[in-house]
Amino acid sequence: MDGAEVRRIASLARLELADAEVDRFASQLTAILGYFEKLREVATEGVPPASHPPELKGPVRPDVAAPWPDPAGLVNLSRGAEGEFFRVPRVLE
Amino acid sequence: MARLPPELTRSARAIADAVRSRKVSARDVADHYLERAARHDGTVHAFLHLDPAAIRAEADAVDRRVAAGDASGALLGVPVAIKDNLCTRGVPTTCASKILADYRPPYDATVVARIRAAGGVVFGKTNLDEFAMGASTENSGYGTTRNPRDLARVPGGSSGGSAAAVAAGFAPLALGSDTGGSVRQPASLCGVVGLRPTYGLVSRYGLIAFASSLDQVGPLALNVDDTMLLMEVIGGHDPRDSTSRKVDLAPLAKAPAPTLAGLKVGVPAEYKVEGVEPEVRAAVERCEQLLVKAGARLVPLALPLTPYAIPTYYLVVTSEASSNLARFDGVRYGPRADARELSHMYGLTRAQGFGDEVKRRIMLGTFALSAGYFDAYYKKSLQVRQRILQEFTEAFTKCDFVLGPTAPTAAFPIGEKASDPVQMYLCDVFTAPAPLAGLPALSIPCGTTKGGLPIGAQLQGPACSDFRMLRVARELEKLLALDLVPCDPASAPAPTNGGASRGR
Amino acid sequence: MAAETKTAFEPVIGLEVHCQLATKTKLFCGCEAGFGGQPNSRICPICTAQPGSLPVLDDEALNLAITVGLALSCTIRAKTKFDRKNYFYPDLPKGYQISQYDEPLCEHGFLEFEVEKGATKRARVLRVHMEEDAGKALHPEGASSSLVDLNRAGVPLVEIVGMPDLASPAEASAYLQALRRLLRFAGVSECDMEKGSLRCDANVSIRPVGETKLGTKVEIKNINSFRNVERALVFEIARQTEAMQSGGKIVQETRSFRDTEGTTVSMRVKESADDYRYFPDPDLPVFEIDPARVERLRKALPESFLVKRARYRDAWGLTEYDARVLTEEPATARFFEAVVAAGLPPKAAANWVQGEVLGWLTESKRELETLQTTPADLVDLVKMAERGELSHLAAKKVLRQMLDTGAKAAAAAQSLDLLQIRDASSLGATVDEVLQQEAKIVGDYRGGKETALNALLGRVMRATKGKGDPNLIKELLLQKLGPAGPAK
Repeated sequence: MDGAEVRRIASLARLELADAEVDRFASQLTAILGYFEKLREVATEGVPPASHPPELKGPVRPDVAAPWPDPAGLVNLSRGAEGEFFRVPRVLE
Repeated sequence: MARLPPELTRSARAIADAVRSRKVSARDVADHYLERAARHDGTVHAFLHLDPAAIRAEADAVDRRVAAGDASGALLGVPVAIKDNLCTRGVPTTCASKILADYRPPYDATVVARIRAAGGVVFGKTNLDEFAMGASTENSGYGTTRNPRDLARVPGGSSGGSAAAVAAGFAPLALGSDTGGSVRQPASLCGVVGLRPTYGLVSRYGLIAFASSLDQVGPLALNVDDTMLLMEVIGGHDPRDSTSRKVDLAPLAKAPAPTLAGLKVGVPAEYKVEGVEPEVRAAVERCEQLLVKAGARLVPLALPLTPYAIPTYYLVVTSEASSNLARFDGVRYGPRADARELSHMYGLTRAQGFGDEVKRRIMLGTFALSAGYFDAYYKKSLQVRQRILQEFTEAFTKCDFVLGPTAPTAAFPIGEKASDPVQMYLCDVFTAPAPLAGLPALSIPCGTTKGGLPIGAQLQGPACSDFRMLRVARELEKLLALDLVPCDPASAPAPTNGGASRGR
Repeated sequence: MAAETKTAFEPVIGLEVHCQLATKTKLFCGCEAGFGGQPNSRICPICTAQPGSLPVLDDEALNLAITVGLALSCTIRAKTKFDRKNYFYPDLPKGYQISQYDEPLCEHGFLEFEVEKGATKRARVLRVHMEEDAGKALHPEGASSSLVDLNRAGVPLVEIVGMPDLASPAEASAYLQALRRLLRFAGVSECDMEKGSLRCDANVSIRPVGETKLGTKVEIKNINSFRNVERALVFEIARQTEAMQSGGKIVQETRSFRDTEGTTVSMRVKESADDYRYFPDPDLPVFEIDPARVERLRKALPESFLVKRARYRDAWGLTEYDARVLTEEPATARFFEAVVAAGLPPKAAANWVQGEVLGWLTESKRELETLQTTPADLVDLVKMAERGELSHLAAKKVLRQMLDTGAKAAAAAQSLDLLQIRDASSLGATVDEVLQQEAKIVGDYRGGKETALNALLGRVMRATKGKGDPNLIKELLLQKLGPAGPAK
């Protein structure tokens, strides 16, 4: 992974890195990815990719309203709470 | 001086019984542990947050409950230290990260609510590797925790604070979380018991997510019996967690104890590799011998996918983590950087708030999921994961449980592995496979090195065999006949590497 | 310069429609899902993405999404999963949207719609999938901040992706109208573009007439009304045609429709934005769709408006026009069918509902749903007229009174004093009076002028203020006068 790739990834992940960091991460990530290459040794033809044990099935919940008792409290957790809203700096369109 | 007699400080169950029968007050229990923490935690730094007044108030409430005639509650008056990635309402919960500095959740994690309902006293928030990413607690944004057995060494991670708190007698019980070994490995390094439950047996609601398909909350205690006690309280279906198993815990918890005679214990060849320290190997072999003497049969196993568990694990967790941590942007909670444009605010907030290991993993995960690389990395890792599950399923047709070391080494010095991420990842070689397969695994103390450092043995079992496995472990624990008591950090060798490391 | 023959191009259009499902709660949490409300009043730890929160799927959202698929003749998958679509925006609290990527709930359906009177076309529907809505980010003019309201974050949506089967802006508009009507008749959503419960993006490309390969497609967003669908498409097609005809190329991009100018403009290309890094959501295991659930929903699927229209026409003999009007909205069809069920023959019911009730609604700017007058009330009124208690004209006046005030038929007729006078003796007395007063007209009648009878009838009606039963009056006049011509 080179510096340009690190910058691309960091941008996708919204991580503003300093130049020195970019180089340091580039070499560390290259080493780690090199280690991951080991997986090529494992045969996976026809093996289904799985995240959960097969016996786990997605549950549903009844369509009954359960309002949260303190919505204002949730807004006030934000450092940018402004009255009823969350305030954020403007998106540059 | 300790307020509680040794028969209580070595058994959480005994504490609950004593509070229930009013032989001791919950307040006295709390004061005992608060005093110990006050005396020793300055050196150990197991806690990120400890509020004596709040704890005393909770203990007093338990005493009032008992006085009013309510003696129900399996954990009556028992202090439980909580890893700081579990939400505790109104109490700072930081995941040991600057990005959640002063975050006070508006709700309790389900496991915390269950502990309270059972009469337990929530006893502080313990230190961890930032966002549970690490194997030494050195990645904490608020300083590392020291191993109470040897203050110059790491307690393991990521639940290092919880393991250290139990080992040092700051609390009889603790909650940790295990994604790739984060309960078991610190348990092993600190000389306590740690359980990673079957995936889905314990609710993740309120556990701040690191890798959702692997995370599980797990209990830590001085002995197996106490571990079981805490597991019975926190486990069981939670409708708030879609990955929670619809399994009734009660019959599992009440299953008859298996006898060791005739038990088939799998011993994989891949667990006796070069990287395992000789003293660790010897301690685990002693377990094998004790089991055989009690009538168990050793079954040699081949688990050839074992070396691939770590790269698989790291691809899966970093991918899921890169997405789970996207919500930390300063908009709705946590500190936010001063910036006049939105993207800049996101970029700066996250760059300032996350430590290096977290950044590395977010970038790895973002990369593994990105267009053009998805098949080669993420999809491939899920396929290998599936094969690892198949390998275990096959193994458990030949044996009841698998035995091996929890970690390849005993506790290593603070700073030794911190600068080499891959070296740190290799600590998980024995603990990463079970989470990938969703299986339960348990670490129990099985001896020490000549230098007095604890060594842990790990049992792994089929899905939902948690309680059977705990019962087998309890038998093994009896055979090992170790003295499972809290240690006094003051008597551990003093650190020789200068001032406390700040963990980054 | 000699006039060159310019290549003729034809447009190819496919619409992507988002529809908010009419559930009580959000897709993955128990917050209320309705429209409006004070900002950030319908929020909870889950839809504000508090650390440690987890999603749990709403049962009714699954039902409604399957219903949409069935209404569009799609195949419903036996297993479905959710995926995360990862990107950063302040109205997206988790930093990802829970959606469906490669295994959508419903696939390979179609929408049959009318392109012009009598001619229908089938446009293919590629897929229908479930996803959660984002919140709202408000950008006050001139301010350096934006404000975020998360009430809408987590509301359940289905995305209906149409294949590029639409051949003109008019066709696209017809498709959207038909889709809206279909969804409303299926009861899954209000489909109100103004409230945002129906949103539409368009994919447009052009190609030389006769060419089968598709040209470069451009996505148009920010179309917020039915009218604007056609306006945006007309502009975009002209823009692309102009570009191609002057030797240029079409850039694959996303453009935004500008309402006031009626134009589309290129949206700022978000830096490396389109790598959404889709992967299966690890917080949600695979969902098994019980075939029994699908069957139950299939049986319960309300009749589509096209089937209704045909039934009104063919089984009930209504005119094409009446059938159309009565199937414009589900509420109208429901009301009409209830009137028939309460005892009016369909044609009569159609006349009264379509001719009178709907007319009144338009005039009074009211919605059918707010009407106090029930189908049963209307039938009562019509039966009164049939029994002769009201003249036809009077009945219309009484109906107006009922609609205005919510009064029942008998009470309204009373209060307007419009009940027909059918008492022969009192009418007879009035007839006698009139015959005395109108000697000249009587004389005309005696002179053989038959039409004088109508004039006398009119006079009696006037004397009774229009309440006299005209048939009875005529009878009485004939009784008293005998046939036209000299008295016998």
